Amino acid sequence: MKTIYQANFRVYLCFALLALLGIVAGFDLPISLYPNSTRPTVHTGVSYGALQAREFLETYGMAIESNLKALQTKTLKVEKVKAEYNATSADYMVDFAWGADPKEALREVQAIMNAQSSRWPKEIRDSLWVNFWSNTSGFVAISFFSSKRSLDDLYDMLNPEFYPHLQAIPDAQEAVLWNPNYKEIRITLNPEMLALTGLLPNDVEAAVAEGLRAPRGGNIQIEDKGLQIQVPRAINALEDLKRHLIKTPSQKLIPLSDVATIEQTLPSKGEQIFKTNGNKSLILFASPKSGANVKNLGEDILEITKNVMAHMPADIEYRVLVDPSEFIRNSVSNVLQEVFLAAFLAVLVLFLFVGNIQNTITAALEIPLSMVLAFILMKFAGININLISLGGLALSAGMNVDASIVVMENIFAHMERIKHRLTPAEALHLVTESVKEVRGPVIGSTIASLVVFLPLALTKDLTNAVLGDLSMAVVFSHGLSAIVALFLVPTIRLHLLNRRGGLEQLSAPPIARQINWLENTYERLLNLYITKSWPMIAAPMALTVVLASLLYFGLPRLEKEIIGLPDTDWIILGVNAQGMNNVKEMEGQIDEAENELLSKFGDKILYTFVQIHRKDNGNIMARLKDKSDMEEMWKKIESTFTNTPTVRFWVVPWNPAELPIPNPPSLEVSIKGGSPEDRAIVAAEISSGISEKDIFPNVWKEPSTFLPEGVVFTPYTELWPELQRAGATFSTYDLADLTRVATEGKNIGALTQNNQSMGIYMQFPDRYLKTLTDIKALPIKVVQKIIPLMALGHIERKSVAHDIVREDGQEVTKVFGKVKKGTEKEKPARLLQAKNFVNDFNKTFKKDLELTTTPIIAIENAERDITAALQQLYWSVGTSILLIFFVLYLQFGSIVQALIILSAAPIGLVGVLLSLLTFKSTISLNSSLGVILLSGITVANSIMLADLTLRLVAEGHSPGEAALMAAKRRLRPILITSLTTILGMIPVAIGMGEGGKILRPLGLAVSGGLWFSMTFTLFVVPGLEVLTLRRKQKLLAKDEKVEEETELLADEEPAWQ
Amino acid sequence: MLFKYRSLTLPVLCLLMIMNTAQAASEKTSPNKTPPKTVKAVKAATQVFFESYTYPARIEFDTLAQVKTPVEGEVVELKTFLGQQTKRGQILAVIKNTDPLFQYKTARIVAPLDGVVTEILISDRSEVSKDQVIMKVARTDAFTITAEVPAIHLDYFKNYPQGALVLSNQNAKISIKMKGLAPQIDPATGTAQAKFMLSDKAQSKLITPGRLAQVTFKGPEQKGIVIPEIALNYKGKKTLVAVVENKIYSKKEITLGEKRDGQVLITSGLKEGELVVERASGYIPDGATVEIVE
Repeated sequence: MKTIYQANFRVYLCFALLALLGIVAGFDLPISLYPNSTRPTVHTGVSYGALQAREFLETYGMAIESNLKALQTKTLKVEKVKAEYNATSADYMVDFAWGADPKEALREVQAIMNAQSSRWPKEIRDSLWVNFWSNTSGFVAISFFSSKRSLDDLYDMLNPEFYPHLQAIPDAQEAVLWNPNYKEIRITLNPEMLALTGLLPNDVEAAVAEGLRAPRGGNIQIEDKGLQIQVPRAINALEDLKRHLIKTPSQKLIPLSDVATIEQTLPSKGEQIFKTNGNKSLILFASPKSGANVKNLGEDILEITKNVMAHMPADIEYRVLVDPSEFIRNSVSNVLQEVFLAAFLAVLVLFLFVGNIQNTITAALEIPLSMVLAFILMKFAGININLISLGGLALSAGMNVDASIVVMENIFAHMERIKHRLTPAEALHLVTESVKEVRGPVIGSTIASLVVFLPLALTKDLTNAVLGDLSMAVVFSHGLSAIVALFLVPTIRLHLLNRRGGLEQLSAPPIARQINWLENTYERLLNLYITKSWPMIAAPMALTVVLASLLYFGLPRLEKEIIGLPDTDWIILGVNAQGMNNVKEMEGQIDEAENELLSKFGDKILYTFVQIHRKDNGNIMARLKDKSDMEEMWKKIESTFTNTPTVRFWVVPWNPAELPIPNPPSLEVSIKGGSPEDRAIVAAEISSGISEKDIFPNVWKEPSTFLPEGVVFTPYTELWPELQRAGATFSTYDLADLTRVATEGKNIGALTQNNQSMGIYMQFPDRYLKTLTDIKALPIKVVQKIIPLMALGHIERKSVAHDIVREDGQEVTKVFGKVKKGTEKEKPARLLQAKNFVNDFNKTFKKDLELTTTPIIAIENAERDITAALQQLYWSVGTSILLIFFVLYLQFGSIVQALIILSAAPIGLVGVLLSLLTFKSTISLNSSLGVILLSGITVANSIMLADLTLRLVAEGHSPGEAALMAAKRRLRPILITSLTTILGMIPVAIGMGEGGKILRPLGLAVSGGLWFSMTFTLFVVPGLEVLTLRRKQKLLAKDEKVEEETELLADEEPAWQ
Repeated sequence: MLFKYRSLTLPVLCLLMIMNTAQAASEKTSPNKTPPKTVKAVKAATQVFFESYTYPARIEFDTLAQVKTPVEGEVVELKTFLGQQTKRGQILAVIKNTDPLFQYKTARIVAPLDGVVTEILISDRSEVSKDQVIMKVARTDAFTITAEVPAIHLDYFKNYPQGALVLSNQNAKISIKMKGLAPQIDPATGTAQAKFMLSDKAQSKLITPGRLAQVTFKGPEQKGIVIPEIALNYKGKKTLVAVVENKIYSKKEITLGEKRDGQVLITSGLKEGELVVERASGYIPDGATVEIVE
């Protein structure tokens, strides 16, 4: 110790180098919105082609599901497999456990699906896709337009420039310049010609497929050279396709153009549509890989765009539509501001109490220093700079000066006794002695406030994902602050002492008079408090009652959430519609909604961006002019777009969050067992009951379809032998293929021309089949006759199999309900109503609905993720308090002392609950973390009080005297440390800017709780201390008496010996 | 003195909290006063409801004459071309007899009827044998429309219904009438051939023989109450419709007939003149008061 303090230059150099390293590390840390922890969900799916849902499920689907569910490697584990089988395709959602590597997860799912696909028919195999698409993942969208050029020209100019760069972006799952004018080759079959020639779509498909093949004709050895014999592909261009010959059943060869029009054109049935305020523009669209850095993605794309556009003609313009990197930058810089403000406020408090600028700086040095040093450790621990870890740094800013203050205070206390100018040896002795005195408490209280984070490190899943970084950041910077306080601060003090000799008069702090008054008042009040015993007993009891009633009445009134979300100016209006046949029809539905949105709220909306992903699902993203309108707009839009039995709207603010924070519905009813039809009936009945009774305004089902109807074609099997005899060559499959091409069309291959691949799509003329009658009359040539399709089978409209949703291999139908924005308070009451309704329904439904099977209805805990996360946290709060208790027990060697000191923690809890209730904040992971953090800080305060009291009693003071003396001496450090922390957290508690909301509950919990607990701890702890010490002394006195009596007795031993 | 005051505050605070909760609870139980929901209603009315039967049909010449050579010989002169309008007795070709027995006489081939040449199977200088078909001539003012009628519809066609011909590239409907119906069913196709002709011969020029067209017939009529299909509700396996009587909303069970083009026939459960709810502004419970809007 002594050698370290003396070698001031080396200490400074050492810390300066470390600080430099820390700054470098800080700049090197990646910036993201949320911590790195991920919980990947891989989506995969196929189209059945010619199969039906149930058939696909039974032949292939079950194997897919069980293989996906069984996926487990050293680092990966599948938690849930959800499968949706609708009329034409199956989607699988594979949820992995927390911490799984997204890339590996994707690879494994791909491997499984590829292995499975070997069993499937080619058409299904070709439709397989695997990706990470999700509703909430961030993406980048930029539109390009020009008033002088066509989109195709624009695309030809821009794409070659963009393509190589876009492919090289490391964080992108998909990055393409998307031409809405994208062409495909469309073969529109002429139904009349097909019927006259006797061709079926299947024949055309086979002929085209043959023309696209380039067969190999073996090898020939000519003069020692092996030469391959090749037959080139017949179809290499659009014209080739037109001329391609097809053999009719009557053995005639006719060109394809005789039976179809073939053109290169816009796709009629695009899979996805993007629009920007109706602008015809190219769109650069990029989505991140799961767990990738969205900010980097956005910045990379913007840079590429800037570089490319720099050498483009001036008429080509671009507009950034969606850029999450801007959002993340804003949020992060917001929290950074909070960190600085926190540090500034802490320094201000220091100055007010210390008064001397030099001393203020000495102590304040610790704030940036411990933060910068924490960057080094964060670098090693692989923690990003994100809203959460920055929040941790903001929180610890105020706490970090504590250790320095305690050390400095004690040095000053010793300096007050200096009578003459000190020799270097004396100065060294003074500093080492004063450090030695506080070393125990400093290390003890630092460990106490750090040890509380230990259980957090052991939490899993969501809790760890959200709070892991925060607690690590606090542990790093706060732990380092103790080191700085014990090494750097004494060194600086010694340096100053040696230079000035210690006789200088310390300037009085600016609020010296107020502090003195406070000290005197506190002493007087405390004196009053401890003279009689009843207040000392009554106050803790009253606090216990308050705590109990707050826990009982207050806690349930607080809204629960995982974590606050950052503010955003994007709001999504999602539309789920039933009965849409294709993306085009969905576009109409979306357009209608967009028009209404713009006509009602156009003055508040900057621009909109529409995405239509599927025929039943699309969304309108609207960017608000002012993000402070969000709450109001959310409520208004939600009440404007009310659900009807066929269209469901959902409204949610959008931010490019990488963390899959659950946004659960309020109600979840699961219906299992029974037939799919009966489940659908039960679900429909429950959802309409809940809607009719106005229990929840937003109710939806999964699968959403009810009474699905279809056109069923049942071939007359008795005809088939005669048909074959008469020379017909088609099969039932060919007929199904015919109706499929006639209704929805079909992809039959791709033509590669000039290195560009174009899909070949085969269809009937648009709107050729409009009614059931049209399908019945579909002409088919049988030998020489042309007959209607209905002659070959019975065609009728009737209900068909329901969509199937399976979770972990079990078929389940679900009903969900959700409250509207702004009415979350009604949730518990409404949930209770819903539960009563479902319970009543459960008693009678089988008879009322005349079902043949009995589905089992159960109300699930919709918020199980939140409940589980909070439960975990409650356990870690408990464990933390236990740990503090052990630390205290080790330090003081007495259970009673440990309990007295610990009494500060429940007092803090009262403060936390009161401030959360007052400011209408939430119970979230963050506010629970606040409780943990607070227990550490309050206990540190109470250690300082108790430690000194005990020492004074040991020195021979009476308990009351000792308590008063200790209180007076410790008030100032307690005030400084508490106020720096409270004020340091005020910016967090106010929650300014985009990122501010995330940590608001934490700030509120800590600053509110600490304020309350500081005030009460100052009385309750000395009071309890006095009570126990007096009791102990009484007991001791009694013991002495007893001992004396025994001695007396001993003296009166009979004298026979 | 302060601590005494403080220990008083706490129970007071406590009380305040409890009162607050109680108040909040009472707010929840008070009934929601929302304006009545609106519905769009239609009057249930009796309508004629029918299916239409549609079949693909081929247009053929009613009269197609085959022209044969009376002699064996060589074509000396072909005096016509494909598609030529011909008059009965018009010379189409001259054939020189190659048999010395007939002294190389020439024979004139004449058009058997007023019409158009549809096929020529010979050329100049080609050899023909006796009774060989060398040309086809068809009348242009009469066509036969042939359709295959599925067995299940045959009974209906025995009454010789009126129908219409629709050409695939035209929207116009040309009225047709039945000419004949095959008495037997082709076992391979399950259909019987039916022949139709145009009701008005003047419309012949609108159609081209050999093309594929569609013939449609009005199916058997049904009379009943017809409502839009979207008005249907379901409860379990029952079908319901919502009706409004004196602004009171209620649901009643019905039985369904056929559904067609967004309309559905109600066979029982609904009386004429009842106001049936087509669309509602939300979910409405039975017995609620509603507003009817246009």
